[in-house]
Amino acid sequence: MVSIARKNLFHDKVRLAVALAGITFAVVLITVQVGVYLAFLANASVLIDHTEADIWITAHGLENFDFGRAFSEKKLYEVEEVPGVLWAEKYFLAFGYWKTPTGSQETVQMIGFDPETLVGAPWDIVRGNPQDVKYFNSIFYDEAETNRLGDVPIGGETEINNHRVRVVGITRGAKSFIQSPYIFTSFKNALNLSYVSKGNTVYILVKVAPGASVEAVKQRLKETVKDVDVYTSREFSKKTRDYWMINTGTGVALLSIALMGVVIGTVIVANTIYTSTTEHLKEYGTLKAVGASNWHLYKIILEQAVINSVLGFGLGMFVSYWVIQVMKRGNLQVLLPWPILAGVYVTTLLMCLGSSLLSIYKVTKIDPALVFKS
Amino acid sequence: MNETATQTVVRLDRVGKTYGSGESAVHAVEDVSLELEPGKFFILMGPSGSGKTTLLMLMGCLLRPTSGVVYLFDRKVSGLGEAELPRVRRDNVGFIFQGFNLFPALTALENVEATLNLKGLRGEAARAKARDLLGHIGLAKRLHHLPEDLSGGEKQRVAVARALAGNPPIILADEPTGQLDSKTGRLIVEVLKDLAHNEGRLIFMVSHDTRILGLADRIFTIDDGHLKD
Repeated sequence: MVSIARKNLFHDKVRLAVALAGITFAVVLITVQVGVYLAFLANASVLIDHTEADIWITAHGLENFDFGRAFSEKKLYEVEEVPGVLWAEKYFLAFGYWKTPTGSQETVQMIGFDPETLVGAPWDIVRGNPQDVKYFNSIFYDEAETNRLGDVPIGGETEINNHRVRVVGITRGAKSFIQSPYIFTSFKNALNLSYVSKGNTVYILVKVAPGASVEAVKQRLKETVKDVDVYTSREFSKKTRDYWMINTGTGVALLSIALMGVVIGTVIVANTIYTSTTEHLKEYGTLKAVGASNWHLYKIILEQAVINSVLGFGLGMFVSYWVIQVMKRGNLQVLLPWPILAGVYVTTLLMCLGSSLLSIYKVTKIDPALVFKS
Repeated sequence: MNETATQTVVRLDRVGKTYGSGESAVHAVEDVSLELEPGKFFILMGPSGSGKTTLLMLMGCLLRPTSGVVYLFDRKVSGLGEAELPRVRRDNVGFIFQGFNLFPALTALENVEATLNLKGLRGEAARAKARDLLGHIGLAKRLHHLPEDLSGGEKQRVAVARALAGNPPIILADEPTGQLDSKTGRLIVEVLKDLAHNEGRLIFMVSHDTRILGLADRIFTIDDGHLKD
């Protein structure tokens, strides 16, 4: 069977190139922006999501994980007394200044955990033993941060807040959303390295006893422990992500650019398909004259849209791959699971089909007299 | 085609077509009655704006009359709905246009094959039939050429082959020689006449060209929407 759609598309190569450029541009924008959005989303709550605690206790009024504020560690004893609590651990977060090998300074987030229990410790270790952070000012940093922190080897030394520290391990996948690299060490070391007063903690992590309801324990903690906020891990994770994605407008900005890609792609594809339809109006009219139904003509236009979407998506994925490689070299993460890629294709297809609506309207309204005009 | 040899193929009974209404109404065709038999080559002449194309469109079921009735094979088609008319045209009518109206992206063979596809013939059968039709019309060596690589006469012959796709008993041609030189134009008209006389089709052609009048079995003229025999 002769595919009029395919023949029409490939006959005018310049027009096809323009349409594909538009779709490719849209696909790259959508893919990269959604990928960056997802990576940001995942990074925003990465430490919460990788900690085995069921409940997080924070200073009152805290907006998100990264802005943790200190409160008295005496609260820990109150927490441990609440029925249903299996264990409770202090967990530390504070900003500090890391001295790079070139002498410049980078802001880092120091994470302090208990090296005996390893609650809140890094979960993916490239090298080293996380229990070694129990030694004086011993730290782990993430392999993705070497561009910013300098390639300090295991056993190498540098400074945080003018205190000498020693690298004892390298982590993977612990990348901070706010671009201040995470440094893992013991609670005691982190407290010493920071400007936070002794006798304080930033978080208390709680594990609920088997059989106890997380929600019920959370409620009891809220009633018992004063001047703090109590969240389930899921709530705190969502609160942190929502803060960055919604409150700061970051997510809206990223998704707006993706939406702009859809709009630009739609306009370009609609314009090229519409121009093509207009130029072939007499031929469409001729088909109609010899007995083609409107649906037959719609199928030709829709087939063009589908071919455009497949080719444009393929090209868009190819270009996106290289864009993402460049972004990764610049230490920017992109997360693209298969369902999202499938979603990008569906969006591309809908964009191309939507672009055909004007053309469909045009052929529906073909005046039969048109085919008789020379 | 010979099965319809004694039957009236097209019958118009007091057909009229008015565009617009009120003071701006244009009566393109008024009170036209005629009966056309198969195996005949008819020519319709008339000045520009006289109603030739409107009459052709009424006969080809591309327009509904404002008054009167159009019959194809004694079936009243002027009252049929939008859903049925494409099928009536597909089964009964082939069109040839002054401007050829070939798909520029399709070769001669594909232009004919696409019409055959539309009429239900698929795959290799459609391809073979298209090849056959083009060969019949003297284009066996130009099958794989795009319209832009064909002469005007060749393009019109492709259009003729396309009109024959699906074996319609009625061929309506709107000034098919209008863009051709006189020699090529006469060749096309002779092809059409042969289709009428040898294959029993009804050929109804609109033309301005008085040099080909001698080839017609019957000549109509139309002026201000009124038909004269």
